[in-house]
Amino acid sequence: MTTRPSLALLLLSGLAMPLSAKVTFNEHIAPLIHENCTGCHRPGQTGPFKLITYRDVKKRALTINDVILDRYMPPWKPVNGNLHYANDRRLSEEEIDLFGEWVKAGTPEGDSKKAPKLPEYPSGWYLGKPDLVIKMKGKFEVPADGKDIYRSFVFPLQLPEDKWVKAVELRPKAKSAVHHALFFIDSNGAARKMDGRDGKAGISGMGFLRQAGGVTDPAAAFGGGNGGLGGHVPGATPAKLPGDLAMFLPKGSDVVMQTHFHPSGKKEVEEAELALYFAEKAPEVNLVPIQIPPFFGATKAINIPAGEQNYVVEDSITLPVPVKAVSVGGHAHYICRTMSMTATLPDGKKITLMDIDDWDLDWQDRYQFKEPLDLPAGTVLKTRLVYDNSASNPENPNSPPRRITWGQESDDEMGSVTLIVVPEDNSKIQTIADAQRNQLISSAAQAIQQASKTFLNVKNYDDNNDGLVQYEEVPGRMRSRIFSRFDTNKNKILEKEEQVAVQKYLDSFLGGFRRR
Amino acid sequence: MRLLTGISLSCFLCLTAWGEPGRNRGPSSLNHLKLVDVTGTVHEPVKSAKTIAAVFVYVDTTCPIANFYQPTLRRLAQAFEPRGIRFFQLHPDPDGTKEDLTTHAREFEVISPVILDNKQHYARLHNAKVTPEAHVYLRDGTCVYRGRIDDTYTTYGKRRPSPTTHDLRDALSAIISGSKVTDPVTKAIGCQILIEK
Repeated sequence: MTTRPSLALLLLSGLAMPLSAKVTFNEHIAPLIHENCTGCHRPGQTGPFKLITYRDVKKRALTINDVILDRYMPPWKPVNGNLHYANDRRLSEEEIDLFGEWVKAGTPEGDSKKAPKLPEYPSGWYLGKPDLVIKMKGKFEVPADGKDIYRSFVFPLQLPEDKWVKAVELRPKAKSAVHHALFFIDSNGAARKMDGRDGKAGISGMGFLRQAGGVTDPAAAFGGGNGGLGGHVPGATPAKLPGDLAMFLPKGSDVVMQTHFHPSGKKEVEEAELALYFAEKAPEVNLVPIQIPPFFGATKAINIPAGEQNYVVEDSITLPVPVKAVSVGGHAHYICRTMSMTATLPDGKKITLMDIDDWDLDWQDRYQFKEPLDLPAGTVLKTRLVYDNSASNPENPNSPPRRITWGQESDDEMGSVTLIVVPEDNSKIQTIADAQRNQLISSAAQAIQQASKTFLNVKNYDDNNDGLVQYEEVPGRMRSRIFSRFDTNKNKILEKEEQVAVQKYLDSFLGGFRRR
Repeated sequence: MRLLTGISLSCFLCLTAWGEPGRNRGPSSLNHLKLVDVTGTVHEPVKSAKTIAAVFVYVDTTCPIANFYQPTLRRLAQAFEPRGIRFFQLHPDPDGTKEDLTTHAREFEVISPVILDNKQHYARLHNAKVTPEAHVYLRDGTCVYRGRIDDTYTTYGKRRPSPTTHDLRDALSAIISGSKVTDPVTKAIGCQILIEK
């Protein structure tokens, strides 16, 4: 009686799990790991431990199983499956299952005859011999612990002629601490002057862009020219731009690297090298960044009350000319939760260009479309960002939560998605720029109205409605400025008379605008 | 060999206590415990009458989460060693070498004894799951805390700007003040320890 069902069960389980008996490191797991993990998880790279040999992978098997199930690794944030990205690092469900089966089977090594050859990597620069290697100015010591550090470093360059850049490749020294870096172009030497002002190499905080005169549009580290030269993200492979595309590097400019460090537990010294690969000639058509909302959301007057869980920022622009979209990527700080960009074509068809449902400041990548996407004139590009400034968001930089407004420091917020496009020819670039400017003007007018209702009106600071404005109630970046000037009795509270003076000051920001 | 047997026996005796802090009391479990660190120094935590508890922290040389906590562990050791709490860092790494651990301890400025547990002997006994994970025992072998150091990490790759709980520190403070540890078991986030057969 009892044997029959169990026999059937045995047979069934045998049918359901033929894999686990056969999955071995040498035959199945090594190729998977070498293809997807070893690029970063090998000596000299940014992955924290190496994943090359059987012993390496066995030791980390349970952790790997967890992080791939969680899709924390390999790092890849977009969740939309409608498009193919050239640099996609997602594992398939089958690959994740295969690894799980191997763990279940007790991580067998398998037949040594079937062991794959260890992958070979170029020992020098990934992209081969660079045209130019530059070293950052000075050395910066990253402490063993403490808060994350944002700092910009100057790579003195000042070439005598304009150049077009196909690719850059970074070699950080503080490998466990460098989380990511963005490369900007400073065409007027502002960064050189700011460098080292606090007695250490580099420029503190995220504020460099605000002050560097050359960078008219901090929008894109990716468009070249006044935009920048791309970024360095762990897990991303350096690649040259396709076809004849290249990023503009004007003569006489320096490269500035905005770096995000995670202290790693030990002291490290940063002294990075940057390799540049030049194009032989200017591209036929330039890359154009379209950032929505512009200026990282400055025009949206981001102003998120403490406790607000679902603060939405939306903005859109209509393409005046047809373009080919090359890549997409976003930027925001800690409390942004979701980020998306959609394109609604004139015929009503809607394409999700990027959909991130769990934004993470740590993994700011650019997602390149496998095939450039044709977007006709009249296409509406729309960005949507959602922020959570509640205590239940573990990434909230403030405990308890505080009002967070737009700003460039890490505990301020920003937010935008940038689509890199190529127009039919360079004559169309101005048309796109005009559309962006018009959009910016209307958006800015709205923002001013919004701001005058919110943070440019001192009454709105009074979160607890007690008629007084406490120090904590003033948005962070305005706090010290306002209190040093207007808190005449120095009690860290703005009383009625003091509020009147503050309001006059805030009005002066807007000239006549506020009265409208 | 005799040393090893001593350790096994004493740990076997307190085995019932593992994993269930505060429930069982092993008979003088720390009494015969002798730990040999990577420099060859033998540590007998209860030899000093001042010792009131021992903290065994499971760590790893390349686990980024374990490494992230090294400065915190150093500060905790500095604060609590003078008050009779002994800190030990254990590496349950079958491929670990004394040389690697020594280099790591120097780079991360580890001030506690570092023990290579490459046979995963202690990891098995303590039922250690993750690096970093702290296991706290009183002199009499009562396990009073096991789990995370604090709540900086909420999951892999998600780190709070600063912790909102200080679980290990609070547990040690409770021991010193003679009060009950309020949260004797917490879930540590980190690199999972694979116990080899």
